[in-house]
Amino acid sequence: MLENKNIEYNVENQLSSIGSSPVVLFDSVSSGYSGRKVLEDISFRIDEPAIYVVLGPNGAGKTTLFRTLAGILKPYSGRIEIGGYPSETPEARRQLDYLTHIDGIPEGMSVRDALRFYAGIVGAGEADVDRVIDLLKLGELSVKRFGQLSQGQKKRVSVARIFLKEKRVYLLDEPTSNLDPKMASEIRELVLGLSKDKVVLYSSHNLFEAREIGSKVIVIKNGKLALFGNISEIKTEKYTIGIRTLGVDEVPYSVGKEGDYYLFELQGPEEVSALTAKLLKKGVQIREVKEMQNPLEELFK
Amino acid sequence: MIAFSVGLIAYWKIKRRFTIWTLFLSLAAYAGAIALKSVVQYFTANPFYEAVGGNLVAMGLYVGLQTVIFEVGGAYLAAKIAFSRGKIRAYDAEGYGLGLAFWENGVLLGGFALLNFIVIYSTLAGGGTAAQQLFDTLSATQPDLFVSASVALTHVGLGVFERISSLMVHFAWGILCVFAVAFKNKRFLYLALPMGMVDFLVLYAGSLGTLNFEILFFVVCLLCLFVALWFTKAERKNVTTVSLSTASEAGDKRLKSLVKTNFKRALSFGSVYLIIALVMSILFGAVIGGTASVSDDVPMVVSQSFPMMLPVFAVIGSFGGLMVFVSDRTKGVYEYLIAYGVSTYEILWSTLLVTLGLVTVVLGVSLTGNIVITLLMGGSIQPALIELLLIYTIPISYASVAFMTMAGMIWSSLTARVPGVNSPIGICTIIGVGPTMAVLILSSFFSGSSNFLLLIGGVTLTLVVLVAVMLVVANKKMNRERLLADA
Repeated sequence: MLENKNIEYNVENQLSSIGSSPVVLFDSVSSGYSGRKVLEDISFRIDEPAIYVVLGPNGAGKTTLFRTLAGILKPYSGRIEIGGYPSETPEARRQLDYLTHIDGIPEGMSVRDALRFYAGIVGAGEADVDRVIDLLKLGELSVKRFGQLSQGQKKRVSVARIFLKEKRVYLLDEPTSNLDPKMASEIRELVLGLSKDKVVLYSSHNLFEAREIGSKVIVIKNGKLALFGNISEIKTEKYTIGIRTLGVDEVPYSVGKEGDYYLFELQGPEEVSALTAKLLKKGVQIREVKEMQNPLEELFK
Repeated sequence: MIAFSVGLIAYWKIKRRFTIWTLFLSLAAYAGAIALKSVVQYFTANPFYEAVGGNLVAMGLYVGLQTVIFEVGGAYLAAKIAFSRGKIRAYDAEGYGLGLAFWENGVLLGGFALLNFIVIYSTLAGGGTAAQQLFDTLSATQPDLFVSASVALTHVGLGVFERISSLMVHFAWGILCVFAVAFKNKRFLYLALPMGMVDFLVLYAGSLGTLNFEILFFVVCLLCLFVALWFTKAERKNVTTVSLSTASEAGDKRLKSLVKTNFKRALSFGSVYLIIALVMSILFGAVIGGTASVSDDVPMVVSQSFPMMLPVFAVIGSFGGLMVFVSDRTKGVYEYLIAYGVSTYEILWSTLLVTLGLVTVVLGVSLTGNIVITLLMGGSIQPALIELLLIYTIPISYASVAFMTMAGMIWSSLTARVPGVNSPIGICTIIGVGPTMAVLILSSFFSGSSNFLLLIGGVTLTLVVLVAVMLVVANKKMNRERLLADA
């Protein structure tokens, strides 16, 4: 469970702890829609390249945070800077890429044309379009109209857009939703590649994914900053996973069964790898591993 | 002179850069100055003339000071506002000066004069009573139009000479005004302001004689150009070595990319409307207009139906632009564009340009098609038809569609997605044909061609002003979240 001391996170200390010109600065920012506040007095600064996983229950304000940072919503109060520039300036906008849960692909366009369209907007060229088509394995889909694609394929096209031009800050709002596990894993690999020298803000509902991809976390609760720190600071009382196997009646360490899934209670997501290794050693053929309940839901009760 | 002005713009575009924004800024500065001068002169010219007893020095000061205040001062003020918003830089100084010169020489004096001559000579070429009446009037009021070729060539030569002088002086004060703002150096403004006094000389054109006046005017304007170039030598050298502003260049490229892509999409999205508009206009024009042109018995109201109704077809044929806007908004495209730094203004303006492009397609195809069909049917193109097309059809078509598109975009942004007649497309059909209907209805209350011209000018100007106001207000006051997809 998220401890109270984390919720009482001291923003002042965080803001004053590091030198000037942060990559991202959020200083006492309040924002929302049509005068209705969704985010209230949020402050944090990011100085080092890494993946910062943005966690929070539905309606907590994650998308509003991203939209405010992306310059789509004008904050009611406070100051936002990207790379030392006020977020409204072209210099700030040029440093930032954005992926939301909406595809945002113009209607009636083929995949290649849609990527060309965005390439024209961000100042990328035809070679960049070819490169991202290869990178996201969109070759066969490139001539198809976007509307003809499956949900997963659409997501791949949407994700491809962020690789058109190198930026300093990436805002990725649930980039792996609607993707099959293999593709989701490949996208995570690409994002991990970015994080070597970029700041990536990555929102997710999935603590397992969050732990896999990031070491830093920004937790939003009821529009306020609940935690800005290391992901290891998030403690869960109970972490239950289900494992679907192939042709086995008895699975060791299991505490029960729910449908096709054998249940296992762990201390946290970090124990999943060790458990699957032990099961494989004992000859269990694993088909799927999944979180049986979202630990974040319990976390934010 | 028009070709010369346009050529300079094109040359500067290739050599350096000449953004559409610089051109519009110079238009705003120039048009504002001319409008203010017109208003001031409308109310004060006659009383002032009577008060000073027609004294040339006083009248010269009266005219010159207005140019100083409105044209030069206005050019400085417009540059200052644009500079403070990052829309113009020292790099644009020459382009700004060329823009001011272009609007005066290429458009206000050159373009309108050309239009006037086309109407006059096409009417005269048409023969008949109207041509004779026009000839009689012009012979009495503008005998210069009918002098021998050798004399006419001298007049043309002097006219071009004068416009070159005007071009030099506008260019000179344009550069100085931008540099005054960009380098925060009032000295440039103080050099520019007296240049407006060149209009002082205009009053002496009669007493000096045309040739002497033109030579004097040319020398003074050349001197102004020399002063501007000499005193800005160091700054211009620095400016030309500075690389292009990446932000500004990126903005231009983005806008071009948006317009180009969305124009193609608009053709596709609105293809049904476009085809309907083209087919209807050609059928309408060919059958009614063509018949009218070969038969003397057809009443005027029928022969004028085609040019009068063409704006309605232009409205229908340009729906594609608005459809692209509505689609992109509902699909969340604008969320990405805004995140990539595209402004509300760029989104609205690019859609406006796309729809105006569609109007050009409708008018171009329809007019070409109708002219060809009319000629094939043995008819002739009447001067009255050309006049009506030039003074009514084309301006009202562009103005109506611009108004419809702006209203539609704002409507779409401020309301949740509504299908049917309350959708932007449904509403805009009514909004778009409104101005045409207004002109047609109001024209019955106006008799005489000058009143009709006044009516069309009034309606067109009102629409253009409304579009500009809506664009500015939407850009400044409308929350960007209004452009996001509905939840």
